[in-house]
Amino acid sequence: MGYNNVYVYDEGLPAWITHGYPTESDIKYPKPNVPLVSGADLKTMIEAQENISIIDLRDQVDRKSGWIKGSTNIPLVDIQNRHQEIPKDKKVVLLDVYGKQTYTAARYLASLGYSNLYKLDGGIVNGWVKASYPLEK
Amino acid sequence: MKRNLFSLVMVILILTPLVSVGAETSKWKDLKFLTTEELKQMYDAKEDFLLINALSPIEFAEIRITGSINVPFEKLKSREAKLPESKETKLVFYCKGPK
Repeated sequence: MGYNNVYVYDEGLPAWITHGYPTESDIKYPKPNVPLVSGADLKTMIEAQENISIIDLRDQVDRKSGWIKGSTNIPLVDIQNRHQEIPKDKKVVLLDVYGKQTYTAARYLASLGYSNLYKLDGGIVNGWVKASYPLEK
Repeated sequence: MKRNLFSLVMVILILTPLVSVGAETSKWKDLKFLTTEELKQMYDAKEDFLLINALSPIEFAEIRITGSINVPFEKLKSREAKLPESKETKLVFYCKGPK
């Protein structure tokens, strides 16, 4: 894209906060307890046709590498615009690539009144693909 | 979003000029790293630069460096990000750091 002056502040937000330098905020999300679900448990739930909603938070590029059957792709960056697609009356299992972003999504959803939230342990890579569970493409 | 710094750097590389020799290492020359103190000095001196938070909008809403704008990592990756037209604009990206 040809930008000539690109910098990265690699210590990032945590370092800036630690130094007490200026930050701003619009909202504070709750910190709910969000239980982990193992890939094996999730597979059992799917096979038992439990009434769950699986939300895949990966971006579209990562999603293309394969997804869990029946999951809905709502990338984390779009969740503010698409949270209405996530049912409030079902168990919601959140997943991402490695399990690092699911709690962020869960905190946001909790602020909207979602309470039946779970996260896939290890994300799709370590919680599902590693066990060679099936993927749709 | 705990998007690791390495991923962010790899994506940011698409913003920098392509070097004709094509070696990955030569592209890195155009990317400069700032320490907390260096950024704070630029910040306090009100230097002309765009401070860009590359996290998701929901994380941006909760806490950010005062005055920064939000251009999520994924929007850079998919090249949907809207950045200033002038290629000379100083862009400073940050996320949640190396952890």
